[in-house]
Amino acid sequence: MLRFAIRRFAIAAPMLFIASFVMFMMVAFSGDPMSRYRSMDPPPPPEAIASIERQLGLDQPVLVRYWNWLTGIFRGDFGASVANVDIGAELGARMLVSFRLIVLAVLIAAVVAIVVGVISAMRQSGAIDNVVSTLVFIALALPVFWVGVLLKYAAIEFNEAAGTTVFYTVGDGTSSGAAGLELVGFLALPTIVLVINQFASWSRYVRSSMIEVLSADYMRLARAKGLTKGRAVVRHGLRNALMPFVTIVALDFSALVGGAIVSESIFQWRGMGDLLLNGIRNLDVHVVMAWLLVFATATIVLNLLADLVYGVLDPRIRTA
Amino acid sequence: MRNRFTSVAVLAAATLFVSACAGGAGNASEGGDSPSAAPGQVTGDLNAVNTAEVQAGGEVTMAIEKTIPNWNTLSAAGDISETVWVTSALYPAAFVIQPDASTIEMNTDLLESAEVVSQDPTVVQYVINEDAVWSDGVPITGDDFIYQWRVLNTRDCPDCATHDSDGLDKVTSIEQSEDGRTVTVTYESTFSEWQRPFQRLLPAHIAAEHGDLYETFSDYFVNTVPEFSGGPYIISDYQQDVSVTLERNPNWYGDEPPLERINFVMITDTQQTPIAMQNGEIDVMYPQPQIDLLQQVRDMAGMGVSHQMNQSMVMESLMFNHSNSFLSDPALRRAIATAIDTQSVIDRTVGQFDETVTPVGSVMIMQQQEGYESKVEELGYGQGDADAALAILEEAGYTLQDGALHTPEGEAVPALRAVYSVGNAVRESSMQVIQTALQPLGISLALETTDSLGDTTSNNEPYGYDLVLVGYTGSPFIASNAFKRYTTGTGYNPYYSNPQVDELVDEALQATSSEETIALINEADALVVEDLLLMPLYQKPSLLAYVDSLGNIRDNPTISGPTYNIHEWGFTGE
Repeated sequence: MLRFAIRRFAIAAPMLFIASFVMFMMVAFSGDPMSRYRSMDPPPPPEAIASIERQLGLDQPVLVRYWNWLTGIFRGDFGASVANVDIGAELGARMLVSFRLIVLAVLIAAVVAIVVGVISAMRQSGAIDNVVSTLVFIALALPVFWVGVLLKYAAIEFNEAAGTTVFYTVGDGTSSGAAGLELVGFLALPTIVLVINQFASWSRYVRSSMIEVLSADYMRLARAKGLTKGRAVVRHGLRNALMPFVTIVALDFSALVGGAIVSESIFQWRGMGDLLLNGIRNLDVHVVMAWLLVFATATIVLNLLADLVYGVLDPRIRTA
Repeated sequence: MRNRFTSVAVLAAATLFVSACAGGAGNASEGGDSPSAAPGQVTGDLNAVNTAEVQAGGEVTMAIEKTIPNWNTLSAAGDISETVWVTSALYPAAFVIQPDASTIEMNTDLLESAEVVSQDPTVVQYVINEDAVWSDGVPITGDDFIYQWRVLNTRDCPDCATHDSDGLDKVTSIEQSEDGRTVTVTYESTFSEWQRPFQRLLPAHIAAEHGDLYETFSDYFVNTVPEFSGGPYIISDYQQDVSVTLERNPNWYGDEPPLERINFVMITDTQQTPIAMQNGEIDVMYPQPQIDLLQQVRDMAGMGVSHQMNQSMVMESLMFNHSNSFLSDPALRRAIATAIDTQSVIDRTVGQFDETVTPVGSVMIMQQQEGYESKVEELGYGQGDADAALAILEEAGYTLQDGALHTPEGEAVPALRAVYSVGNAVRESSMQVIQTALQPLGISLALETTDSLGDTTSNNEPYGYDLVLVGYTGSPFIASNAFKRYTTGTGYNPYYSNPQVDELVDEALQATSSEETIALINEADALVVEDLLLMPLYQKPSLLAYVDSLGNIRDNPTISGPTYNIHEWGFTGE
């Protein structure tokens, strides 16, 4: 097992290095980070632009800039930002915001997916299954940004009907000191957007997995021993059906991040998604690289964990 | 039973989405649309819009579209409109530019007087009010003027990346009285725009505690959230990238501002701003007007939201690359300008939501400014007259062969690279209208987009352009603005030079009256328009929306923005 884990780590580290190099070059060559200064109207003096270029190290060759960035990382220095972002401090604060959204959405989406998936499987091809499946497919087809905007308008209608602001359409609430129910008013809509995006696909995994389990011999044995269908499902079926689902959740991390980026943008949360979008908009290579580093590491670690879990559950994988 | 449940579930889901979809429609706007003045359209005195008696107290939340990564608005990186609007309540200015972009009023809270005491060279004497203090109680003195001069004059701090010298590079000395209240500023020669400097004063005594000129200018004032104020409000709370809250400055030396608190909320996705306003989360927004956004704002008329639309100071124009071997011929440029129908460009773009927009005929003085004169009519530019354009070309020896234009030397004029900002639908439509207008001349345009207009216009390599649509911002300081943009070796114009323009602008900078400045600038303007460095098209409209009950808020289309009189905002109580 240890050898298996070391082997996986040995593959992950160079992957991270290659990803960092490719991303650095892609961002560095995608435009001129100083264009925002050159586009200012009226333009600042050329000496000012040259001075900023020097301060940011943009007067260096790109390979030197990459090397400086790479070695800086080991000293805890994420590099200078074109937009004067304190990258280290921002990463910490924004990770909290994003991970709060992602974790909350994962928990709710997982519970909803399990309930919906199990019910669908137990009523396979029945009316409930058909209706739920239809709704799930609609949810799968809905673009995240559209759902977000739609929910905002629904919230406005709701607030008008309630005569008070229950749901908020911008901000995450923490900075304005919201707590308790008011905080829920800030959290609700972005979380729902992300949940809709995610539970739909997960519920299909649970459904198909559950259908397979329901026809297994051990389930028939459990029923033959006198357990009700519900008890048999909860005590024997669910545990086996959910094993592959757990690894799916880990592997879907990148999809969740994609949804969170859109959701954060619509609801103006200052999370990692917003940091990335601003970094790209400003061609702020060090900000983009810091973001990449965090999420590439998280994705690789989660995939690694999924591999390890597979390895634990299925010895054939370890020896393959 | 099961079927009934599923029917209810489907119905509920459908209801949710239908109600959500319906939510966007809002209420109908008030008033009828007339071609001359649509609802909210300001055609009169911009300086007096929404003037009202207001009550003390209350809190306002304004949306801003950018975050504040840099608090030093004198630096190139910090000179962002949104930061200027927020900090205008903190950093005092000697003079305040009024919304009409012509009137420049002395800040009577800060200054007792500001007078030119002699000319040739210009010497200006400022007398600071004896009550004027920073929020920590330290008096505002000549030291603060001197600090600004030293960081901006490009001599004392050559590494300070400044947004502009604000004319302080022309100052040879600043002296102050013993108590620091009388400040005498001497220029190297006559300087007509002496009201331009000292727009955003920073506290010299705080700078002295945090290092030398470079350190304070490039680090301390950039990265430190101001805990000081020399204006009516002071920052009481700042949440990075989220919001700034201002409260009354307890040591403010002017009349107490009506509003107790002002929140600036950073909403960087402009699509989300009107929704937040509809939900009551913000009270003021100042977005770039677009047809759908304006409709959203108009729909809020019945919900207690007013809006103001007026001319901005941003002029859309078509820039010609004079280094192009074909466009270096004035005849070809003149023919292009003559064939373009500016009114058609307007009709296809901003005219769809603002029928008051008209072609602009000057590049140095904006339509709402004193002294504006259109020069394009007499030159025949922007009239969409293809026959006249063909006549110009014919006279210059050009020929049309198989529908393509050939030079007098017989060379075919290649497709011209016409560049506009990527994702800018308005400019895309404008270019398409221009492209169609040039077809009868045998001139084809190859439309291209750029994500960096600055690079496109300042370098020909690696981007390059032949024609480019740009937005140029006017200024109340017309001579300085003309100097920076249109004289040899400045601004975006590496390939344009007209010694007569240089001379006239130089004379305008040294004029002794505003009338003389305007006359000289109009002369220079006529030359630049005729030379067709730029072909002026139209001035974009600007849009300000606010809750009905908020008085004294109005647009200021100059860099000062709508917060120029933030200390007068207040609720009317109606």
